[in-house]
Amino acid sequence: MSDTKPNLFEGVEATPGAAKPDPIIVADGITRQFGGLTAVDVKHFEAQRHAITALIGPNGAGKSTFFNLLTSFDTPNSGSAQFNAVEPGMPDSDVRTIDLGGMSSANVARAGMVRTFQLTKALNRMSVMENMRLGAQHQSGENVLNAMLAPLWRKREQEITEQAESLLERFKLLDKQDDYAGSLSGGQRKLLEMARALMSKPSMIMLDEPMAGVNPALTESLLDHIVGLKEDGVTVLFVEHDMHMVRRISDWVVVMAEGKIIAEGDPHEVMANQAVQDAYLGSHHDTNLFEER
Amino acid sequence: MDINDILQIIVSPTTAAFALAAIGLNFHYGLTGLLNMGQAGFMLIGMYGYAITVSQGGSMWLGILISFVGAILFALFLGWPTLRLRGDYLAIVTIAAAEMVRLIGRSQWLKEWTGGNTGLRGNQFKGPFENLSPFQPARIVEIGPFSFHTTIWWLMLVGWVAVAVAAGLFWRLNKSPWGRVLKGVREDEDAVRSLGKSVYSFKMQALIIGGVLGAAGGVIWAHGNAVQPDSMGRVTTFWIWTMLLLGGAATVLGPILGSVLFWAMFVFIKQLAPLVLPNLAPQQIEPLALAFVGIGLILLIVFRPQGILGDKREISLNV
Amino acid sequence: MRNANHAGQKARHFPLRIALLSTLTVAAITVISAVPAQASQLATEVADTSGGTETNLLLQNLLNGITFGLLLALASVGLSLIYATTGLSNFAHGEQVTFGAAAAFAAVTAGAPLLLAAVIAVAAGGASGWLQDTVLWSQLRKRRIAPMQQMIVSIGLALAAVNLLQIWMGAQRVRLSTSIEVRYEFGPVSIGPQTMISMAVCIVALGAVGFFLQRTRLGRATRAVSDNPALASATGISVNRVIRIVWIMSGSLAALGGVLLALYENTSDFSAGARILLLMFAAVTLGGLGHPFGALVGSLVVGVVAEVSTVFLPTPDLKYAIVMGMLILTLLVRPQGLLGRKERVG
Ligand SMILES: Nc1ncnc2c1ncn2[C@@H]1O[C@H](COP(=O)(O)OP(=O)(O)OP(=O)(O)O)[C@@H](O)[C@H]1O
Ligand SMILES: [Mg+2]
Repeated sequence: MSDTKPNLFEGVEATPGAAKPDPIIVADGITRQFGGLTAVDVKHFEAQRHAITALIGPNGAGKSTFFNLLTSFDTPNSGSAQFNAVEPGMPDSDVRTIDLGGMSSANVARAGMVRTFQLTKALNRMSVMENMRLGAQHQSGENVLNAMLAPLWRKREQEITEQAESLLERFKLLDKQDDYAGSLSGGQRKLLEMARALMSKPSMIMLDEPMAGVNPALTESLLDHIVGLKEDGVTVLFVEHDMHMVRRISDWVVVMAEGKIIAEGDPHEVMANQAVQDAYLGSHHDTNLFEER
Repeated sequence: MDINDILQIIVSPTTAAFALAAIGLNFHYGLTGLLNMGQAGFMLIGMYGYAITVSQGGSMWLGILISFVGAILFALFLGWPTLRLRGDYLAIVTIAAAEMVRLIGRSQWLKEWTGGNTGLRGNQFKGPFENLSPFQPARIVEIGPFSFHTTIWWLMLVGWVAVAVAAGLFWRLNKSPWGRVLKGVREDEDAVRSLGKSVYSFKMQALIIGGVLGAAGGVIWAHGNAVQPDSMGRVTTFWIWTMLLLGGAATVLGPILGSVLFWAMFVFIKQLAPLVLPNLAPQQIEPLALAFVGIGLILLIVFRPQGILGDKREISLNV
Repeated sequence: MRNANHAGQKARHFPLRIALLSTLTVAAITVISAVPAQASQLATEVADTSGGTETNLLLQNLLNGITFGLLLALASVGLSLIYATTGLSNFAHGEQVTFGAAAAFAAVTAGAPLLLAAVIAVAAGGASGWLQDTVLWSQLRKRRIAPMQQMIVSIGLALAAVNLLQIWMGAQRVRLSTSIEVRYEFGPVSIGPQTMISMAVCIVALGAVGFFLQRTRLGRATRAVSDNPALASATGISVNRVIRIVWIMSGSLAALGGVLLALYENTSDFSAGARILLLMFAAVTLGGLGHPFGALVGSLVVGVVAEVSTVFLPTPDLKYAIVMGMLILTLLVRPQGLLGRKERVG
C-alpha cells in the first residue's frame, strides 16, 4: 500500500481540513445539533479520490452522524458538501460536481456514493442472493409496468446474478446464496452488506465499522477486500476503532473528537499526535494508546 | 346444520370481494410491510365512486374509472404525510382516514349523492352491470348444490375472474425486481435507501395498487349487497386482516384461502352455536360468531403467525 | 446485592403506591359527590336570577369541548402509557372503556348506589388490566412477539370483547342513572351538576396520574421504562412489574372514563368505547405518541375541535370527521405530535 501513498498525498499538509489534490468529497462548515449537543461541527473536510481514508475518534465523536450527514440520511443544521463524481470508465478529469445538500439518500447512492451501517442492515427474510440483486442499479424490472413483463428484465437479471455470484465468491458467501440473510452470522452479515453495496459499482464506498464483531481470521480477508477495492479504483472512507487495522490499510487518517476534526495525516504520524492521544484518554495519561506492535 | 349454506358463502360474491381486498392488503402488508388499517375505507371509496357515478347517470365504465381514480387519490392522500414516517403512523392515519370517509359518507351533508346513513340502494346503480349479463333470460339457475339467480351467477363469474387476475398480478410482481425492492423495504427501508432506491415512491406504488384492488373489491361487494357506509367500518378492515393472516401473508393464494375460510367458519359457527348453546337468544348468535373471529385471530398470531400457507422459517427469522 | 435490595424495597412499595392511588381516586370521588347538594342550591339561585338568558353557542361548545376533552383524556391516558412502556397500540382500549360502563351498569342493576358502582367498575377495570397482562401480554412479551404482531392480537381482543360485551349488555342502550339532568346557567354558558362532578373527578384523577409519574418512585420508573426499557432494566428496575402496574392503571382509568362518559352522555351501550377509540388514538397521536402528558393535551384539542367545529360545519354529524382530518394534517406538519420529540434515525 505504501507504494501508492507518496504520489496521492504528496505535499498535503497534515492539518485538520487539509486540501487534497483530487478530492472526491468536499464538505464545508457542516454542523449538526441534537438539542444542546453539537454532534458534528466540521469546518472543512476533503477525501482524496482512489485512496483509503480512515475516520477515527472516540465513541460519540460524531463519526456515524457525519456519515449520515454526507449520505443524506440526516440533514445538517448548516453547511454544504459536494461529491465529485466520475462515471465508471471515464478519465478522472471528467468530474461532475454534485451538490449533496438537499439530495435524497437514494440519489446519493445512485450518484455512486454508497454506504454501510454501523448496525448491520441485512434484509433478513430475503435470501442472500436476493439481497445482492437488490444492490444492482439500472434494473428496468424495478419499474412496476415493466415488472409485469418478464422478458423485459430477464436479461438484466441474468447479468446481475452473475455479478452477484462473483462477488459472493470473493466474499466466501457463494454457498450461502440461497439461505435467508437472517440465518447468517454477524460477521457474515457484515460481509454481505459490503458485497451488496458493491453491486451498485460505486465510485466511493463508506464503511461504518466494517470490522466490528468480525473474527480475526475474517478480518484479515476483509482487509484484503478493502485493499482490493482500492485497486479497482473505488475510493474508500471507513470508520474503525481498531488502530492496527487502520494503520495496516489506510493511506490517510482523519481524527474526530467531540464533533470536530482535530487531526489529519499519515496513519503513523497522526497516532503519535498529542492532541489525538488526549482526545482518546483525556489530558492526563502516561500510556501510549497507539503504540506500534 | 346445512352444508349448502357453507358452500354457498364460499363461492359468493362477498367472499370474492373480500378476497380481492385481502390481496390488496397483501400488497401493502405482505409485500411491503405497510400497516394499512383502512382497507375498508378503500372499499368504501371504490363503491361510492362507482355507485354515485352510475346513480347520477354515468356509465359503468366511467364508474369503474372513477372508483379506481378515487382509490388512487385516497392512497396519495394517505401516503403523502405518512410514508416518510414510522410504520405505526400509517396505521393511525389509514384508520382515521377510512373512518373519515365513512363519517362523511353517512353524514346528512352530502345525502343527495351518498344517500346519508342509509347509503345507496342496489337499484340505483346495479342496472348497467346486470344488463351486461350474458346469462339470459334472467331466472334462477341450479348447478350442482348451487342455486342462484342469473345476475348472481354473472356477478360471481366477474368477481372470481377479478380475484384470479389480482392473484396473477401478485404472483408476477412478487417475483419481479419491483417486488424485490418492496420486500427490501419491508425488511429495512434504510438499507434499501442506501442502495439507491426511492423508498417513498415504491411504498406509494404498493399503497396505490393494493388500494385499487380494495376499491375493486368494494365495487363487487356493493353489487352483491348495496352501498352501506356502516358495513365498511374499521371492524371490516380487521376482518380483512384476519383473512390475510389466516391464509398467510406474502403468499399468492393466502388471501383467497383466508377469505374463503373466514366466511365458511363464520357461517359454520352461526349454525353450530344454537345446537351447542340452545339457550342462546337469536340476536346473540352473530356476536358470538364474531367473538370467535377475534379469539381466532389471537390464537393465530400466537400459535401460527405465518398463517396456513406461510413459510415458518420466514417468521422465525423475525428478529 | 444492592440490586436485590433495591428490588425488594420496590416490591414493598408497589402495593402501597397502588393503594395510595386508588384511595386518592376514591377519596376524590367521595369528596366531590358531596358537592351537588351545595351546587344545586347555588345553581337554583343562579337559575332564578338569570332565567331566560340565551347561552352563547360558541362558548357553550367550548365548554362542552373541554368537558369532553377531559373525559377523553382520562379514558386515553392508559392507552398512551401502554404505548410508551410497551410500544403496543392497543386497539382493545375502547372495550376497556366500555367495560367500565358495563361493570357499573351491572352493579347499579344489582342495587348498588352509583358511587359504589363506580368504585366497583374502577376495581374491575384494574383487575381486567392485571388479568390481561398476566395471561396474555406478558406471555407475548416473553415470546418476543413484535409490537406490530401484538397490535394485531389487540385487534383480535377488541373484536372478541366488543361482541362479548354485546352478548352481556344486549344491543340496547343502558343508563347508569335515571336522574333528570338539570342545567344551571352561568353567564353565557350552562352546565349540569353531574357534568361538573365528572370534570372535577377527571381533573383529580389526571392530577393523580401526573403526580404519580412525576413524584413517585414507581412513576419515575415508569418513565424510565418508556424512555429505554433496556437501560431501565439494567439499572435495576423490574420492567415487567412496571408494565403490569401500567396495565392495572390503564384498565382502571379507562373504566373510570367509561363510567363518566356514560354519565356525561346519559347513556351507554356495548360500543360506547369503540366509538371513541379513534378519538383516543387521535388524541394520543396529536399529543405525541408515548408522551405522558400528550394524552391530556391531545384530548383537550380533540374535544374542543370536535365540539366547536359543530358551530361552523354544514352538518354537525361531521364533527368527528373533522378530528380525523385534523389528525392527518397535524402529522404532516409535526409528525412527532404536539409534545413529542423527534426520533433518532438509523
Ligand atoms: N438522533 C440523535 N438524537 C440525539 N443524539 C444523537 C442522535 N444521533 C447521534 N446523537 C449523539 O451524537 C453524538 C455522536 O454520535 P455518533 O453516533 O455520530 O458517534 P460515533 O462517533 O459514531 O460513535 P461510535 O464510535 O460509538 O459509533 C453522540 O453523543 C450521540 O449520542
Ligand atoms: Mg458510530
